[in-house]
Amino acid sequence: MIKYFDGAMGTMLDLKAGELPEQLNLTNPKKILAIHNAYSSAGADIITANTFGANRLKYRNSAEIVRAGVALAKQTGKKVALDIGPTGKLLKPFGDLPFEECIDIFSEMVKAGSDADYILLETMSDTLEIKAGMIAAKENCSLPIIVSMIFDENGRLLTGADIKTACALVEALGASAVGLNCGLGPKHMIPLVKELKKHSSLPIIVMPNAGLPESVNGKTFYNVDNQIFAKHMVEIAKIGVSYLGGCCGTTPQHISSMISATKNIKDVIPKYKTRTIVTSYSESVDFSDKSVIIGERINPTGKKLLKEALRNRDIDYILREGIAQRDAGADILDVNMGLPDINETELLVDSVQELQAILSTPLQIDSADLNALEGALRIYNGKPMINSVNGKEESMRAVFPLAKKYGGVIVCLCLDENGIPSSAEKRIEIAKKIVKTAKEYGINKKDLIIDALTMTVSTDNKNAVETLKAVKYIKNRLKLHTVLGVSNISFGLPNREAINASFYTLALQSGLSAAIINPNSAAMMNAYCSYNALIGLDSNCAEYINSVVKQENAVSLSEMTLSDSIIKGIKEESARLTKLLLQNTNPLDIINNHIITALDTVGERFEKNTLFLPQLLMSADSAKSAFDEIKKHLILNGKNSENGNTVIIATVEGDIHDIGKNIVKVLLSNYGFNVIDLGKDIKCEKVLEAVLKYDAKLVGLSALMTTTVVNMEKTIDLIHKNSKAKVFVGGAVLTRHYAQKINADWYAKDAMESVRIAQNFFGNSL
Amino acid sequence: MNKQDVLRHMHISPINCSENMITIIDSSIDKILNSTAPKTLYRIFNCDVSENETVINNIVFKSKNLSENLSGCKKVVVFGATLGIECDRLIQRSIITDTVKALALQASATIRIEEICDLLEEEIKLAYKINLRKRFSPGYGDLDICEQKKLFSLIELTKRIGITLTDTYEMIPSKSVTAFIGIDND
Repeated sequence: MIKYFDGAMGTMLDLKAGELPEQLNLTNPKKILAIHNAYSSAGADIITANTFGANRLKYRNSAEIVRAGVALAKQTGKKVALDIGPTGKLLKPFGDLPFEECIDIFSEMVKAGSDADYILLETMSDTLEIKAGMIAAKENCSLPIIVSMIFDENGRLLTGADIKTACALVEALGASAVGLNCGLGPKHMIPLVKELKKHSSLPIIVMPNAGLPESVNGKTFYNVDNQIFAKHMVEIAKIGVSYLGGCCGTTPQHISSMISATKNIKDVIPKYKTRTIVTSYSESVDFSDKSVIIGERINPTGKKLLKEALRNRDIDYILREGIAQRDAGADILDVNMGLPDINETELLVDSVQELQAILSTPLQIDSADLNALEGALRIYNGKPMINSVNGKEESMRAVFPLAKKYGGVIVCLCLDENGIPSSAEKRIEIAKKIVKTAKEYGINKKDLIIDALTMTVSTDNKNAVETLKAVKYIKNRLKLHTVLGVSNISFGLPNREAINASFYTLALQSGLSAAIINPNSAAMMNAYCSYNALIGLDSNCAEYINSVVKQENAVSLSEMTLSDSIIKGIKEESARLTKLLLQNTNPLDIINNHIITALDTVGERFEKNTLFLPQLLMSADSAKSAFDEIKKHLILNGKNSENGNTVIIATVEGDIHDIGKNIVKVLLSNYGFNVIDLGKDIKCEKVLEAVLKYDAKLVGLSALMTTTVVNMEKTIDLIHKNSKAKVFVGGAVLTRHYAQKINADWYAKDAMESVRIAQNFFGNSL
Repeated sequence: MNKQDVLRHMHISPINCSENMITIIDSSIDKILNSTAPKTLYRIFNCDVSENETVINNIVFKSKNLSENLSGCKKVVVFGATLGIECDRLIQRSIITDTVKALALQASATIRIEEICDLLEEEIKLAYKINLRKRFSPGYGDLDICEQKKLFSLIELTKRIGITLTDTYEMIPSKSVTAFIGIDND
């Protein structure tokens, strides 16, 4: 039997704009109860408590309102759903609501409403907020969680996910049912429900609006009456659903007509789906489609430059590695921050969040430290890959509960208490044991990917063969997906890429589902693209051809000097020329005689208004690529790359637009300053903390809004009272006069002036 | 989209603009046109305009400038438009790798959202056969930016098109516009 939810509450209340509906649970409970009773009489099985927006962002006494709301709904004698809608705030990093605070807000509602029979998260349009809501529900009650999302006509959430992606995430987090409500009328939902049924293994819930809102004299009317509503709901019911109900504009008449029209249609739970899917907030990678490339570059093992970047908390370096790998063809990015002398949890969590702020590529969270792993799994927006669990009891006991709680596809290493077996058979045994144990934790086969382990071929000539044998067996007989870290095969051998690429091809031929490789390596990508073309996965060899063109475009030549190329703003050329110069020139000479002179030329032209910000930045970016080469050179030669005087910059609390601050950062670092960028929306205490920690003498603050200049003033005050540091300020709303008024030491009208201030302050040009 | 507008917004004169820069701008315009999904929402309300305040749906907006702008109007369009959060991501991503591209994207997006607002106005004019005043947004003149919150209570900008407000009244996605547009009576 299909179970029926009720219809709209807001429509029935007919409130004035600005009036808060949930307040009525306390001030006019009779009115709320009357509406519940009307829906109950109309035949609804489940009454939705009037708690949609009853969170502490909107009400000081939210818990009281939730308790009252659930109690009122219970008076109908029907089952009751605790209704939880979105907070209305956007989560960090784009918005200003921290993830943990969002969980806390929802937790409060769940605790207050735990007398209900279901948790209904509805009208959700942000996957991260859904995750916060589900974590709150799982941590505070054991009620079934129903997740209903608002999709547009194209089947996308406002934050970007399509139905497949959103569904994979909701299922991974352990919802009892998934579906859609609001936004559209029943007719427009029909194709979306069909699409959902293709991807969902969970029971489906559908609660459309009564058509589309029409506005007459400022009042909203919905254009689908109860008869038409019921007619379309029959079509939806026939697709195969478990719960039906109504959203905006629906009335007890809509619900009663819908029930009489659909009551003889059987409820259907969709067929179980076996596809292995990893997602970000908007994209999904399906392991059944093709062999997946997992980029290995964000892992410090054996990478001097990344190690140095991690020690300096150079998140931009990590982000650039991410972008480069995605552009080179990575489907998923491995993220590992395992260095002994850093705070791995903090850095892993931050990197995951920062990477997701700019890239929609799904991530593989890679850590041996359980705290770090949990921290990153918790904040991750989507269904990640988890690297890894192995056959040791201890490992499975630790990792499986985390995977169950936060969802994810787990990499399972074929090793156990006795180490790595040399034979394929023994590794297969371990794989079987892991699968069996996972099941005990409620983790399904489709969320496991087996790593049969690549062992160095130079130590035993059987090593490659055994691994390939295991891959083949696991794929064909155990029907599980497989993954390998490919490059380990060639350890200790010359011309490693040749062996790596050949082994990769053999592994693909053996059925390898995913490889952890360096996507920037032409040899590996050639092997991958050639393989796909040869076995008929690449129609017209289009991807193969495309990959060759990409590589050719990367080559360029010219006769410029480094100064020329910086003045003209040609990045790649500046990097290439710097590399050439480094062969026979002292790095400091390159900086003084080429880079700084070029930047000064450009800076003067900017100040004389003969060139403008974009050209200035092109030169700055080119100088940056030259500096990067020098830095790389110094690190690889074991020299300290620390240079310049420290300047701390930040956008003040409450301000989340930061392009201006970022421009200042680029320019300052290109003039040789050691810039510590605290980011945006930074509390004044945090700025002071950094000033003291780095013993900084100069701080730059930016504010964009009149509403946040007060925070700038507070920050300046705090710095002046507790340190000797000087502060320069800038931003859209500031003027020289205003800067003086809030006690800033200098006002910078643009990024170039920031450079001049820093140069004068530190008394030299470098 | 008009390339001249983008150039102007970036303070670049078309005369001494390098080929390299033109390529960057062209590809930015292309990116903004093809990888953002603009959304708009509007509703027409009755309004009561007096010298110092405007009342829409029982909500009072205290602002002389808004009253001047709407003076004589009996109806007003309240609207919002946004390029969506992916546009912010796009700009954020290019800041990491290429500041100039970020600036070009930023300029293209600013021009684009204005264009979306203009298109919406044309659509409304055609649909209702009416004339519209100039649009007027919170933050203009003496209409305090904090009045955004009230404007947001008039139409479901968050739920329907995903514009949210921070505690300091910044809109996210950053390429978003809200405004009142007076409808001329006749």
